[in-house]
Amino acid sequence: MKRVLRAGVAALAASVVTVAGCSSDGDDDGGTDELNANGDIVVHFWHGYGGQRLEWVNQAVAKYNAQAKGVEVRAESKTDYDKLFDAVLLAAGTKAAPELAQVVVTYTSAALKSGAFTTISDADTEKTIDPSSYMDAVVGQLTVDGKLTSVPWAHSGPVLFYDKGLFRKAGLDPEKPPATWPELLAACEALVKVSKVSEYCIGIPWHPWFVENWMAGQDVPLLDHDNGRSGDAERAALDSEVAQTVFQNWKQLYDEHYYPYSTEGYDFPRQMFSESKTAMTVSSIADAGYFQGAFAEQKRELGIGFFPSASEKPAIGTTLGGASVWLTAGLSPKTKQAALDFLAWLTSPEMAAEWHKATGYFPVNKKAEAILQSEGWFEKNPAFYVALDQLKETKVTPATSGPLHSAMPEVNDAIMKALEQVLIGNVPAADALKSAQEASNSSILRMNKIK
Amino acid sequence: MQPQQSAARDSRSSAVSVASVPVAATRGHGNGDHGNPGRLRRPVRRARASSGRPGAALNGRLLPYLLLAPTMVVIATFLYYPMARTAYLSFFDVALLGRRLRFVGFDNFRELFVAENLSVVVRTAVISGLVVVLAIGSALGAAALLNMKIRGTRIYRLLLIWPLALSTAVAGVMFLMLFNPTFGSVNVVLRVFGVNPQWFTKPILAQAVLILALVWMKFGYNLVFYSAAFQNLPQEPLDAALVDGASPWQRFRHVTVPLLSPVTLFLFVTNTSFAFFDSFAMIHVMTRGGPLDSTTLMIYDVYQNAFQFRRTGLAAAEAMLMFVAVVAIILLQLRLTRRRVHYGS
Repeated sequence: MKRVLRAGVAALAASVVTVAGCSSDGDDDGGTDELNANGDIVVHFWHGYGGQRLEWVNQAVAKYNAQAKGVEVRAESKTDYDKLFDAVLLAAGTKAAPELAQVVVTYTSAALKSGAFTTISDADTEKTIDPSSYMDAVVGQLTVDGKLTSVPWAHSGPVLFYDKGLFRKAGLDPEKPPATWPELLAACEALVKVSKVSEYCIGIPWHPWFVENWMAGQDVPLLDHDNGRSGDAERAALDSEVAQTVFQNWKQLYDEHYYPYSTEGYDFPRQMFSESKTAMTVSSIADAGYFQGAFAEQKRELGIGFFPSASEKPAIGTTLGGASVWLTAGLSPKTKQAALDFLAWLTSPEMAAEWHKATGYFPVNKKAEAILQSEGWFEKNPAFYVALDQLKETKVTPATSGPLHSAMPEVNDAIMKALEQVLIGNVPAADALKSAQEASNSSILRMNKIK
Repeated sequence: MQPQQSAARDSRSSAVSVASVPVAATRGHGNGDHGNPGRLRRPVRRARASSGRPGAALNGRLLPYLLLAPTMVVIATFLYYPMARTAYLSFFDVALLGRRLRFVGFDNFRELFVAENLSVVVRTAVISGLVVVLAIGSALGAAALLNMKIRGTRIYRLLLIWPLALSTAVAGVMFLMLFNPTFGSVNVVLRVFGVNPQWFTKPILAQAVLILALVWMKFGYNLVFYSAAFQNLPQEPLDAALVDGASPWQRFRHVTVPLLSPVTLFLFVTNTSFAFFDSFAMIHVMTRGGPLDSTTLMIYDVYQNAFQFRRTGLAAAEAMLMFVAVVAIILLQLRLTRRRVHYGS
């Protein structure tokens, strides 16, 4: 009896200690180095990828670890950009926090406000990262108040993917994808009537980035104060005429049965297009690698064109999407340097070229393009050059620089909610956008109050 | 509810008898019983009073707390602390998952009572109410039919109870497949009759599917309890009604249903909590609250506000409101039915 009792008390004491141990992490300054069994500094790198991209990252990290001395990079996927950002915020300031984390450009402003990160400009005292070696458009988007926030890595533009075989069948020129809205509608009419192969004409991922891009193409920024880049934005531009046009266009595609509605994000249109259920789809150029593989397997011919304009006027360009890599706050000088060294390697000309070939993401390092040219990559895969070409032709204005505000996630939610009301709730575009505008403005003002 | 009721009575009587047995035996009993403070405290106090040895007194005084501590630590960490924190956060505008707080007083609660958020409350009340009524009503009907002396009752009962073995998420996926407009079995059959409803893009249809799935999910559970209750129904009142010339319906309505009322009360409480809280998995798997928020019940709205829209403060306020609402409904129900619930002989 007594022995049982003593054992019980011991177990209890142990459990109390464990609980205390768990909660003592608290706000560590994080200034210590984590070492592995060999005494190498460990750098944790969190990203948002699955599938093919995840494999590429794992292989790249293994390659780096094999050649690097005194450092071990451990890559970990947090499923998607949203979960990734949440995970970093929750881990910030504890021992579980990573040293490097990918942050989608939508969260640039929120990341700065969170205090969980340091900018590259502030942290890179040794000049390991050379901002001028990266594509200007990407650096421009990631620079806030004159500081480079993070290292460019996985950036993309929206493009139009289409099935050349179906274009031929429908009597359309397979080398001339639709560039304006009237052309797009004409192509849809022909494709759906004549080909009879695809059930629908065009897929659009359920994502606010496409609304943003259709607006940017008409040179209308989503937020005031130059899309939040010349000062804190105070209101959205969802009450603009262009926003209405974009919504009405989308609705028209739906009403004509050209566009299959789904709120499944990127996966659904990706699947519809690779199964020939749509003849075209807009998506990120980062899907080029995936579609290329799927089309080769099915012996179909993939075409890639510029992202079509929302009006009869040609678009002035597109905004960048994707995610850069940020350095978290509170790292020791040694760990910080190890993390920066890895980033410099990951975005070196060679690795940037490899990343581009595997996925379609922009070769962010300026010298990567030369490597790709010398390998004859673009000659063999002209489609991959389309997004790069589109980016080069983009007129840089506040609209094409993309929105910057910590309330952007909420503004984006308001946009998609309004779009759903227009498409399946039969709410007039003007009314839905008016509520979205009000919701966005109050979100923006709320976030402006939080310093 | 006969089986549980009698079990509860047994445990109560055993607790009483424990209190009156000698000290050593009491302590022995207490050792094996970590989870029930009510049963432990009384005998222990007696132990302290009657024991002169200091070691024993210390043991007697500390032991219950020591034994309770692990449970208390777990409950406090995972239940009380989060609850207190939720209450605290409901008065703040919480940005960036708690990294930035701004005190806003009752603003979050005020925001819950604007038209758009109020519609969630109304929708929750209507859908949950329908689920509870239909799940209990259908199970009662089925149990009554199963209680008839027909061949194969056991097999029917087994098959009907089956949904109980499924997790809500699995059931959600099943309904999602069944009602898929392109390849779902339901539409394959309906297409024969020339209709092809888009279940998950029309608000009213999505709500209907959600209600059906939730009712189906709870049906098996309710049936288990009603079946057991039917088997334990006292025969005398029914016989008496028969002798008095009551029709089968009258006997069911005026004798059987009142006799079943303890089970009904119990099921009402569990079904209400199911419809309020456990509907989350079903909504998340099937509709994600859409189309047009038509299947967004409060529990899902809390989730969306907290984790999708990152309005942690607003979500905290909503969670508090929900907590109060559920407690109020159950208290009201207990009070209303106290006089009308019959616990049989």
